[in-house]
Amino acid sequence: MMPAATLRQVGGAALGAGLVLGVLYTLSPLSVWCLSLLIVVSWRVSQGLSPRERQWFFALLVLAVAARLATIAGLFLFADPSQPFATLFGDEQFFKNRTVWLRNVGLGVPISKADFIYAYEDVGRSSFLYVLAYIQALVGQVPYGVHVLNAAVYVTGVLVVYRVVRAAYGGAAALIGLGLLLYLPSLFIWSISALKEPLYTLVAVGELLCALQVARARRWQHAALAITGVVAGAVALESIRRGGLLVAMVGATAGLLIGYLLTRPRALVAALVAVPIVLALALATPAVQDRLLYVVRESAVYHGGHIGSSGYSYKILDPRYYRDRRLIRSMPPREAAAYVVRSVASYVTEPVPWRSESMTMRAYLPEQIAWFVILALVPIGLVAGIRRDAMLTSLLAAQAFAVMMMVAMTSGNIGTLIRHRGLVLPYLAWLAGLGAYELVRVATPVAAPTSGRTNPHGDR
Amino acid sequence: MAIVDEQGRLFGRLNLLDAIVALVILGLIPLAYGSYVLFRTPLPRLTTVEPQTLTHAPNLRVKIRGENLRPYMRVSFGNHQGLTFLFNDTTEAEVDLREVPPGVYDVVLYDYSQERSRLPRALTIAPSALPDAKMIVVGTFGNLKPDQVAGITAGMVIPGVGEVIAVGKPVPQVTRVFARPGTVEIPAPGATMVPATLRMGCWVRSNQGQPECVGADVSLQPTTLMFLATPLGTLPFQVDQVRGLQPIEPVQVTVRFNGHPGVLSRIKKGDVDLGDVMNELSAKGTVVDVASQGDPSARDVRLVVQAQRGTSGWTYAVAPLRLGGLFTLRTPLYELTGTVIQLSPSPVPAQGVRQ
Repeated sequence: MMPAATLRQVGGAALGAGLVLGVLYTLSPLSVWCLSLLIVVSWRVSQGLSPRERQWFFALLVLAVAARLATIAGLFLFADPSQPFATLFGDEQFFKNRTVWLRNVGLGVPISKADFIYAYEDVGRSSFLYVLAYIQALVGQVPYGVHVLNAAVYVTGVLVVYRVVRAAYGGAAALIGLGLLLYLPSLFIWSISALKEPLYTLVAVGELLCALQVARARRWQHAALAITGVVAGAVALESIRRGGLLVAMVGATAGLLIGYLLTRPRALVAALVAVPIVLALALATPAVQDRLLYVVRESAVYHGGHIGSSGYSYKILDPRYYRDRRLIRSMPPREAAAYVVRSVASYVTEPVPWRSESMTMRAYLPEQIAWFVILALVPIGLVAGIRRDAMLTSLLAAQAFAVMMMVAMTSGNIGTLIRHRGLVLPYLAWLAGLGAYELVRVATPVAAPTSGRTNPHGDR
Repeated sequence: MAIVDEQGRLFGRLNLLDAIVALVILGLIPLAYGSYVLFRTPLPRLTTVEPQTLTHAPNLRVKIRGENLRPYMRVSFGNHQGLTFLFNDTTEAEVDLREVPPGVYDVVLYDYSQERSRLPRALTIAPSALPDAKMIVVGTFGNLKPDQVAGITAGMVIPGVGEVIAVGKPVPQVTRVFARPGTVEIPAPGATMVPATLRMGCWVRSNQGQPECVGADVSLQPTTLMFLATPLGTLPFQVDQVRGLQPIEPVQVTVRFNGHPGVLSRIKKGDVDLGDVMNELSAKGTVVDVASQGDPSARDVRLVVQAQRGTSGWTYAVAPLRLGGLFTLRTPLYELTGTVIQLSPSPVPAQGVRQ
C-alpha cells in the first residue's frame, strides 16, 4: 500500500497538472490536442531506439517543437492590434478568414453578405479549408491554434517517415534526415504557417507508406487494402492541391515498378533494353506528341502567369511569349522541349546567388547553398539506398521526381518556387541524410570492432 | 516551532514541495485571468448612426458611433454592404453607401468573422423629392485606338450610364480644358475622337440652390469631362451639348442683324451655326436666305434651326427662341448677335415628354 505522504504528493501533482492543463485548454484547446498528439506519436516512434539515439532523437524533436511554439507565441504577442490577427504570410489571411466564414455558415452564425460570396469562390478552393472549418466548429476560432495544428501535422508526418527510414537506412542517416526536415529554415517557416503544405506533407506520407505496403504485403488482401490507401491518398492530395492525384499516382507507380526491377537483375536488364524502345515508339506517335505538347504549353502558360505576380520571378521563355501569352499555345515543339529543360534547371538553381535582388533573397542564400549540398548528396544516398532498401529508395526518388516536375514546369515566382520546393524535401532529405552518412563513413577509417555489435551503420 | 521541521513540513503540517506546487498553481490562476483580461478582444457595439434619415442619392455617407470599433470592421445596411469603413477612432467611423434604394434599414456591424452588433431600423433612406431624369448628351469619346473607334456604334450600352444613340465620323483628338476666361484646346497627336450622342440617366440635385442633373457622378454641362466604363474599356467622354428628350424639329427663324457692313457681307447662304463647339451631331442652324433690305448695315437672315418644343415655346442651343429675343450666329469666321423677327411654325407648348 502507498504511504499517505506519497499518496498526498501524487494527488497534489495530479491536481496541479489537471489545473494547469485546464488553464491551457481554456486558452487554446487545439494546442493541447496537438501537443498531446505529438507526445503520443513521438513516444511511439522512439520505441526501440538505443538510449544514445533516443537522446539525440528527443533533443532534436523537443528543440524543434519548442522553437516552433516560441515563434507562434511571438506572432501572437507582437500582433498589430489594428488587425484581427497576425500572419506570417499574406496568403494565410485568406485561409484564416475563409475557414471562419465557412464555419460560421455551417453553424448558422450570421456573416456579411460579401464574406459569404468570398467563402465559396472558386479561387484557392482546397479541402484544407473544410478541414480547418470543421476543426474550428469543434474547438472555436483558432487564428493562432492553426499554426500549432500545422506544426503538429508536419512534425507527425516527418516522424512517421523517420521510423520507416530508420529501419531501412539506419539510425544515423535517419537522424540527419530528421534534422534537415525539422531545422531547414524555409521548412521551419512553412511548417508553422497556416497554409495547406503541412497537411499535404502528412497525406503524402500516408500515400507513400501505403505504396510501400503494396510491395511488402504478404497477403493479397493486405496488398489490395494498401492499393486502396494509395488511391485514397492520391484523391485526398488532389483535393488539397490541384495536380496531387497525378503526382501521387505517377510517383507510386514508377516507384513500385523501379523498386521491383531493381531487385530482379534479369528483369532490370530487359527493362533497360525495352524502355528506350517503347519510349521512342510512343514519342513517334502523333497523338502522344500532341498530348505532350499540349501539357508543356499549358504549363508554360501557367509559368507566364507568375511573371506578372508580385514578388520576384524568373523568365525561361522567349520574351515575345511574355508580351503576349496567347502565343504560348502555338509554341513550336523545339521551344517546348527547351522550356522543359530550362524549367528543370531553374527549379534546381533559382534563385541564383549572383542575382539576389533583395535583402530577403540574400538572407535566403545560406539555405540555397544548403539546397545545393542536399542535391549533391542525393545521388550518393540513392546508390546506398538501393543497396539497403531498393523499394523504399525508388519510391522516395520517384515521388520526389514527380513533385519536382509538377512544380518545375509550372513555376515562375521565386517565393512560390521556394515554398513548393518544400514539397520535394520530405522525400529528398532522407536520401541526402543517407548520402551524408555514407560520405562520412567512407571518409572515416573504420576502427576494429570492440564489441559484439555487427551493424556499423548504427541502430536500426 | 521551526517553520520547516526535520521532515520538510511547513509549520509541521504541510510538505514544503506540496506548498510550492500549491503556490505555483495559485499563482497561475490570477496569471491566467490577467492574460485573459489583457488579450481578450472586447466585443464591439453600435450605438447610433448619423444622420438617421437621408434623401436618396447615388452616393451617400453616414457616421456610425459605437464602442470598441476596429479598423477592419464593416457595416451593412440591410443587405447592402457599405463601401468603406473610414475608421476615426474606437467610437466613430464613416461609411459610404452607393445605390442603396429608399427604405428603412437595419445597420449591422461585422468584424472579420461574423455579425457583432445591429441597430434595428436605424437608417431611413427617403425617396428623392425629384424623380430620376434622362438627358440627351452630345459629345466626343476621346483618346481612341483604331479598334476602339470601330467598336463605338449606335446601340452600345454603357452600364449604369445610358446608351449611345448616334455616332459621327472620327476626328483628330482635341481636349478642351478650362483656362480663365474661357477654354483651351489641347490636341493629342495620333489620337482620335468620335462624336457621339448618348441618352443618359441622371438625377436632379440642388447644388447650393442651383438645380443640376448628375450622371456618371458629374454634373452634366458643356465641356464636362467624364470617364465612362464602356464595354471597350474606360473611355473619356467630353460633353459639347446637353438637351432634353424632346424630339428635334426644324424651325424657320428670321433674324435681323445690325452691324459693320464688312462683317455682315460675309453672311452666306449655307453657313452653319455651330454654337460653342463644332460637333456634327449637335443641334444646329443653317442659313437658307440672306436679304439686305437696301441698308448695308443690316441683314435679314433666314435660318432653319433644330429646335425643341418646350413648355413655354421653342428652345434652341439651351436658350428660348422667341420673337424679339436675341439670337447668336457663330461660324468659324464670324459671330453676330441679332433679333428674332419671324418664327415659323408658331410655338405650341409640348403636351408631354417622351422618355
